Amino acid sequence: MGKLSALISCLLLTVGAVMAQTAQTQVSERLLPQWLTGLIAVSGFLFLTFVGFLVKKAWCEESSRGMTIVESTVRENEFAMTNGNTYETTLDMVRSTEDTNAYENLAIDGTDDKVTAM
Amino acid sequence: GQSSPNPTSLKPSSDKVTINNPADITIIIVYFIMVIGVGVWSMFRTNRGTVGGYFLAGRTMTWWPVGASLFASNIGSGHFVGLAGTGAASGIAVGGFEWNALFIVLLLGWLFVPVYLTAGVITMPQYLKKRFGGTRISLYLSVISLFLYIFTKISVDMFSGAVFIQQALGWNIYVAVIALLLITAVYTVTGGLAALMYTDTVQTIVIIAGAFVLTGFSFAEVGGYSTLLDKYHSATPRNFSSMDPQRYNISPQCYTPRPDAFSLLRDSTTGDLPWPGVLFGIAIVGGWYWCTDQVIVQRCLAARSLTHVKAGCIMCGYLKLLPMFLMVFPGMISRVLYPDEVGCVVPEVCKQVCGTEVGCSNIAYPKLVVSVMPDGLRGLMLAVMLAALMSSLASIFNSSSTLFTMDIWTRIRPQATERELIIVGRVWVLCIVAISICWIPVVQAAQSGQLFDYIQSVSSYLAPPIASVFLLAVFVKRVNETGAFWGLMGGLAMGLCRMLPEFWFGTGSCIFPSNCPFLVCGIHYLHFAIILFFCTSVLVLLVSYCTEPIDDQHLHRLVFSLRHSKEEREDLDWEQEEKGRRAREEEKSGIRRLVGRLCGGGSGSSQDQEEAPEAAEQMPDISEDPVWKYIVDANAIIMMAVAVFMWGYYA
Repeated sequence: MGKLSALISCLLLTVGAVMAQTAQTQVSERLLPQWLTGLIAVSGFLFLTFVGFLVKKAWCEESSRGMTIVESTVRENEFAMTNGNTYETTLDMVRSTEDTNAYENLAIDGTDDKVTAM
Repeated sequence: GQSSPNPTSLKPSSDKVTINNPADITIIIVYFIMVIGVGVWSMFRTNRGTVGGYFLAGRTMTWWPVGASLFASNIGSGHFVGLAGTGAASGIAVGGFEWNALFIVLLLGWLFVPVYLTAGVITMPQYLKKRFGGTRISLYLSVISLFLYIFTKISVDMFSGAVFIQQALGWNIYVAVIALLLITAVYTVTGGLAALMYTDTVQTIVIIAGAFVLTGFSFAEVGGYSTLLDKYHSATPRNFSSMDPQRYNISPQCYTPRPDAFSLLRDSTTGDLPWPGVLFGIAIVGGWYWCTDQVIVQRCLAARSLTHVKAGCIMCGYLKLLPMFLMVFPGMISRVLYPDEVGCVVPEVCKQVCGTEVGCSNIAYPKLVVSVMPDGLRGLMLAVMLAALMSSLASIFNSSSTLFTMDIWTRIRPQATERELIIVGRVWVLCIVAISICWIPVVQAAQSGQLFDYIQSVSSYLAPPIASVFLLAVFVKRVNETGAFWGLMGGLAMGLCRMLPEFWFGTGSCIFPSNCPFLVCGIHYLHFAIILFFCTSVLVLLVSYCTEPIDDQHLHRLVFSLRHSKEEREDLDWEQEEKGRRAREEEKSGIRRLVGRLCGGGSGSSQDQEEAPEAAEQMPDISEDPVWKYIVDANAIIMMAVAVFMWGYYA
């Protein structure tokens, strides 16, 4: 981006210089001294480079913000899609990895009969 | 009144200065020892046994050989003779060719080389083959690049070397050129790219030091910069009336210096180098030369990392500021000091002075060397010219051998092993040296002073389609093989439609203008380059959008937008690579079986693992250290600011 703006700036300034140039016949009759033309060209170029920097920064921020928005929407969609979609998926999401019996009701499934002593 | 030319008042053309004093001879011998010594030393530094080592210097170069090699490969004897001569004839606008390159070389380092590096290619046709698939585009590019090397770069450098040798030294042209070519061939063939790049660094130092010395002496002789500005406009020759009024008349504009001689940007209709052409046409041709041509890109690919490439490009840019002051201004000084020889206009007079009727502006630089430099320093200037000539020729030899070996030979013999390719590369250098020697008589016959115009025209008519296709290939994913091929063919047809009639009619001179019809030759060649570039781009995009696109999976790390992607790429040329690999395997196993039978099974696995002659296995890394990235980017902006200031100053 910076390069493009640099080239455009160079073009604009040299077009300006040329328009001033082609109007005259003698090379000694310059409207501005040569060093001044050079300085104006440089300042224009630096200004346009600065503008290019700002534009690039703004664009990058927007695109990275856009990226995070896209990522979070994708994640949300995943959550929405897995709600009651397939049995395995739902089960896998809530199944505990450490304790395989975490969601089993041991009291009901257990073989020991709890009998209160009379 | 009519002044008849008095032959004795003209400096006789046999006023040659032979290098016969000890100071000159010592300097020349020291120069040759230095160059050959550096060549030999660099031979022991890199491994030249592999393709990567021979053609790409093992990818170990730091930024200063890269920058110096870029500069020395570009600056040839053609620049000394051509820039000075055109500067003498028409002023400083020809320096626009050099100063435009300051920006283009940055495009090379920032936009194109990252893509070439991640693509993992050695030659430019290889890149196109991977990018588009198919073989016709890469074949066309190899052939036309070799053609352009022989007809433009080699011939112009040899012509200029010949002009210098004949004007300043009076040596036999064949002996001198053959000796030079053989010395160049020796260190090119043996050392490969590494030797070239290190010797280029020496050559750069010699070129700049010598040219500075000459510029200093020239300005002292003419009386300073402001005196040059005043005196240039009155540097007219004494003899300007026609000797044969029935045949021709000489109008004053043919021998008076141009009023816009000191401005870079001239009128778009009446100027000899109109400003749109200077700004955009030269940028397009420069885009071909710096960003897509094998000679220049190969030096960037040999660098250690992307940061080194960028730093080398910046160094080359700064060095490219110098030719305006070291070659163009001395050329103008030469015309001020010797208006009757350098600025001669009457054809008979010119023929006596320099052997060609059209004009003698080409002798501007050699004349200065002969007349202004004291003893001892003339030897230095000869070393400078030799440095420029040898560095450019060596680079062209090496790159053309790379092109021939990796693109044409591997098509003829896909089963070629690495060792065979390196041998073929070396043999090709000798072949092209022989072709260059056979080219000398053609160059001499064409010594009509028109050679530089022909060179510029040939580049402007043939290069823009290539620049356009490469630019679109790197930046536009939609472009596919059909579009690129038909774009190249259409561009070639358009360029030939302009080039062939113009060669047929001849470009003529100020006194004898050519009768080329306006429709063909009316548009300035730089404007034609711009038109050709846009027409080719439109054609490429049109055909591409009408045919199927290339999938992203084939394009990872081949286009600018995907240069950082780490995904697996399905190469479009995998069929060819497979064929080549299978052919090599067959040959290897065939040999192994034969050897086994001969030696009774004792060979075993003695054959070392020969890798397929592609780039190194791991992908070249284009990540950059952030600190160095900022430093390099800041330096680039500073360099562009300096360039813009110089353009603004001389506009």
